[in-house]
Amino acid sequence: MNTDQSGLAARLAELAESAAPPSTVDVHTAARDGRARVRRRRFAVAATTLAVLVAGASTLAVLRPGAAADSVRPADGAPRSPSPTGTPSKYVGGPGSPAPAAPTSAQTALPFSGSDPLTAEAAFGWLPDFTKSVWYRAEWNGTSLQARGVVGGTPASPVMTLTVYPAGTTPELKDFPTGAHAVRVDAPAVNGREAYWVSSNDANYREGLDLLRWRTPDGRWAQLDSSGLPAADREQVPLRVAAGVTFAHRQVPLPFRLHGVPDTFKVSGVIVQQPVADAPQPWEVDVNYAAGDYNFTTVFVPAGSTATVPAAVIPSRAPLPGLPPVSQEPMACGNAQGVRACVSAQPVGMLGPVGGLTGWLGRFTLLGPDQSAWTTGVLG
Amino acid sequence: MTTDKSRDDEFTEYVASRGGWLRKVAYLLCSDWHRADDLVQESITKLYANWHRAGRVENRDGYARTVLVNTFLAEQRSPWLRRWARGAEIGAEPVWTQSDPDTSLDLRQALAALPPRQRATVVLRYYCDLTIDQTADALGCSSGNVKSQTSRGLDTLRRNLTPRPTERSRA
Repeated sequence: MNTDQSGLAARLAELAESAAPPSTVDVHTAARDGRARVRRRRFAVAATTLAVLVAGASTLAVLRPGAAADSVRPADGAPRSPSPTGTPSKYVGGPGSPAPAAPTSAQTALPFSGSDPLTAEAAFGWLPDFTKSVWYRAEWNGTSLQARGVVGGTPASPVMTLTVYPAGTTPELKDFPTGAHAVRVDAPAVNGREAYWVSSNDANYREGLDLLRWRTPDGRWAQLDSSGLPAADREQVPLRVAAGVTFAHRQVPLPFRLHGVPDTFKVSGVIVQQPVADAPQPWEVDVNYAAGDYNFTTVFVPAGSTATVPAAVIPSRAPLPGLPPVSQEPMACGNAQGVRACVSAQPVGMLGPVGGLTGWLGRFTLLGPDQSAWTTGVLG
Repeated sequence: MTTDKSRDDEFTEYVASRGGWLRKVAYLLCSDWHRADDLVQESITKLYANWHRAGRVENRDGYARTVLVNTFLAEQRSPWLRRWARGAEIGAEPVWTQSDPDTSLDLRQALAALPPRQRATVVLRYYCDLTIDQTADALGCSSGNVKSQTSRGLDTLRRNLTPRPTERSRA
């Protein structure tokens, strides 16, 4: 190592020792979440072709690949095995398996038919007062709907994930990797129909589980997987939420129309955030596209709201002087009809077929912030 | 078989002793303390879920560091997933203060300006003091790739950390 490099090592060490805010890392939360992942991994192995359609009170929803619904089929027709608990698939690689290579567009394409990538099979009804937003996500390998809340301003926010199994699929109770058993514990009937908790004979797993399953009116199984609930709410709140869930299939309107998309561009995901009641956060819709081996995201928020626009696409994150182009994340934003749309892509060359960042934004027709004006004729 | 109780105790003890170090590595990777916390939180969660495997490796610190770096790189590949993971707290990118255009960038900015893989290579090589081969193992790439990433990263750092006379002369 030459002098310069020795100096760099010293400067890095100095930088790492610079003043830092108090850490928010929580080892107990990590252990709890880690236990949950072990549990879900175990379940996921046993999951058969599972379609889970979820929906929310605000008429938005997402779908799982392989759904039995007539409008939902995996793009390649192959069965997939998403987690029945709707576990976000954000980190599919474990420590022993370095992060996987970015999937190709063929692997990431969101399966849907028609012109709307979002459909709903169920909807939240009653939600607890702490609920601040309902999130919906569709991805190639799984979907989730979550009611997110805040209790006492703590970072351990409650999250309740609603999923619905396709007709004919019975969720399994599989043992945990440590040898602990998953146990069915009868729950009070939900609207007069069979219900049970998934628990364990092991105290550690039992403590981390707030997982309720119940029969839908048409005989399918629904599931509500909760975490972060106040201790006093862990039983009654999921039961009440479950009782309020309704089941119906519908397409979900989005705030734009999109035209002229090359066949090589595939919708690979959708996230919708809907504020609940007086939540300060505005709505937000994110659409992720796969172009070859890359993905890029387009974000829609009400014009004038900057709180939720990701820093990656905020113009104020101006290029730093003197930086090489390769390290900057190209972005473009535009306002129309009271909606702000931003797109960022790295490398930006992936958008060449659509005229670059601005060319891509130009293919959207924005419909305004009034959700009654949104459309299910999104693509085409 | 290790019981869950002893596993929890062992894990908690490990994080208590090594969490600060992981946080520093994370900070150098992402240039933001809040993001570093998120990165460490996610990494130790993975670590817990694979604790039996971590317990079998000779170098547990190296294993944890590899988890951290791979988690960081995975996030870089998928801002979509990163945003989902962070929930409503969307400001996932490094928050920079605009540097004085008439002076060189400070190290944090210059480091943050590197492409993620180059940044990870520089941090592993010069902060974690790993050899080329060890870095290649951690990143799952060839030694030649580490050499080229290191070279390019150092070149860019050197360029950005050097005051630019033309800009200074404008002042």
